[in-house]
Amino acid sequence: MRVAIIGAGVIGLSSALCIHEQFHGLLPSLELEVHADHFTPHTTSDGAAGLWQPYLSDHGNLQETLWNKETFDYLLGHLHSPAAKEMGLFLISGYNLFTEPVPDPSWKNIVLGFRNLTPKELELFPGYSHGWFNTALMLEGRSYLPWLTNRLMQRGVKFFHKKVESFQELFSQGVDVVLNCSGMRSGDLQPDPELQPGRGQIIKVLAPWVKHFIITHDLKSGIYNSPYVIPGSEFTVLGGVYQHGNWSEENSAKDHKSIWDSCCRLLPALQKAKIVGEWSGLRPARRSVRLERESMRLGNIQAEVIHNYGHGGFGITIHWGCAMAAARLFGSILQEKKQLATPPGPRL
Amino acid sequence: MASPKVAVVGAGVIGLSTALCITETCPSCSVTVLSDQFSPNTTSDVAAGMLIPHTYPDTLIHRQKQWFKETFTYLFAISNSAEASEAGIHLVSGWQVFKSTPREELPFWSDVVLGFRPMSEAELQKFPQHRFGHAFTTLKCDCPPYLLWLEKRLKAGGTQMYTRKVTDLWELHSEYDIVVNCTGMGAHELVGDKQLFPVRGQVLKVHAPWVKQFIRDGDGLTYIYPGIHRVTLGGTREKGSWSLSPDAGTTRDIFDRCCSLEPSLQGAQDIEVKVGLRPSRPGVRVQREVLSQGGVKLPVVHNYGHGAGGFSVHRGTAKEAAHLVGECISALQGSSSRAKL
Repeated sequence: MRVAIIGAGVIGLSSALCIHEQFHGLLPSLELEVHADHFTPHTTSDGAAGLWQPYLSDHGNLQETLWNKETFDYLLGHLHSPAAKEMGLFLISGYNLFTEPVPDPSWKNIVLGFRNLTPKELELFPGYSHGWFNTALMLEGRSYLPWLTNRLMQRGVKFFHKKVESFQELFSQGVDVVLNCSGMRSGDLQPDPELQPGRGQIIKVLAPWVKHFIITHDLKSGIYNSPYVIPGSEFTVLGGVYQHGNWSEENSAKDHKSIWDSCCRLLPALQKAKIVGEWSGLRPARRSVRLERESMRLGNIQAEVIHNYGHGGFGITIHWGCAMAAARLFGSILQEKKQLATPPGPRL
Repeated sequence: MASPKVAVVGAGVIGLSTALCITETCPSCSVTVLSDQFSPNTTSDVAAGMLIPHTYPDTLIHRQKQWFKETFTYLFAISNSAEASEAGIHLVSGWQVFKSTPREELPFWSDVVLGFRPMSEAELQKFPQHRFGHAFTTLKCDCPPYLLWLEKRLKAGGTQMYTRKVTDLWELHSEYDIVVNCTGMGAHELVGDKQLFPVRGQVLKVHAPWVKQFIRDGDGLTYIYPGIHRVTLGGTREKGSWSLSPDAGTTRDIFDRCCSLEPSLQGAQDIEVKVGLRPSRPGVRVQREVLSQGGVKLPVVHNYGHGAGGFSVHRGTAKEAAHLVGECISALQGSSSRAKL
């Protein structure tokens, strides 16, 4: 049973690990392989700051809220493990700021210590009248992806550095199931008008005195189009750009200025921070995550694809819940193929 | 008295902040700081600089609270300004955890720090040996940056600073009109204060930049305080010990205790061991005194004995000491005009 995962970002690698963990014991013939044209540190996941935080509203998408919770609880459980540092996992507290009252988010009981800001705390942020404080988690892609890669390599998962041009390409090589975790470029494999880039740009600075995340919100301009500051383990990420439909991965001078000015207004001490990098990336945005099976008829075989893409700006936040769901879909494929005790069948 | 000459003895957080307050309240004063040690070799440099007050049994609580509030307000404004990183002042959130529920649920300073509340059940799960806790946000003064920033402001205002060991306050009476004694542990020798005793503290300063939150055991012995570049792991409270040499067994013990609160510290790098003697006293001595010898008078303002709570109350006590200096000046001016009569 050959399973190919397309994509080596947080979604691809975690889905691969989840499937291998759950099924390699039950299915000795299970062979996993990851195909991608970009690996860490060149994936979208590597550019993200790594803060666990869903969007303000789940738009009634309870399934996604459950996947977010599953991810948070899974990570929280790993916080005290010896692997935490290597995974890039740590606790962090911080602020969400608003210029008007906002309903409590779907994740208020998932994070730790969620509360409203006191008037004295709001003095720190002139111009903002309401806000939240909570303790959440950071999962830095630059550490997590290599950690996932090592776990997979230890398990004998193979890696192929090549762009996959079509699902058929893999099936004709003898792959039985494909996991489509191709993020922003899923449209190249199968057109999906719902999948659009949510372009982001960030400035990396050295500001080690900043110990909290600070996310501002401007309800009129939409999510992540307002300054944010997220301190990581090596540098602090300044951001606040979300451009729907913009495919450019070039850093924009105009965006740089806007991010810099607005973040320095938020935290005056940042004026003294040294800039050490800049990056642009495309959030694979979709009205909802596409996490479902698709059966394709190719000649006389039933080809199975499990789609797991469209996680927008909350990929890290939701990844493990989605990986588990993808693993369940894989399990149902195995059940249907009666794979747990079947001899190999004829091929194309 | 056109330009009173004030000598401040001591260049730790108390000496420097007191000198600064004096220049602020008495612009005509000529202030000089004298000390045998300057940053990074003061007791203050060893401390983490967390604004979590120590309770002095012999000082009225409302006075301690006033000192803390003034200090917190002063530093809060700096932390919010462009100077924050240079001054080494930053906000930090975290938890104080207790193995058994403390007698008083609310410490006197709970309404001064930010967002003080009991920890939730979910948060306490992270600390299986602890049953109760407080969550709050407070400030941290990193040293050397904070001391260097104070020195810079003093120099900009014309304050002179000299390395000099003062062994007797009377040495200074011919050059200075008023002496301010901020000698911390040095006051034991300098003014023979038998109420003053060292409480030895050993700490580790480690590189663990993923630690963004503080954790403190309510017993005060084990704590993890993330600073700008290093995390301070502590500690010990050895009453009466004068030893400034690091102890290897203590290092191991501190490290183990901190790792049990925060397991990821196992991966900490670059462990530096430091020792400081907390200049402890049942009450902080912020007091005026006029020394007298052979008809000569020397006004002295004492500001020492802050023990484990120096950073938490430094600005409040500095202001009080500066006020006392003002009283000394008025007294001197009063007596000199009487002399003229």
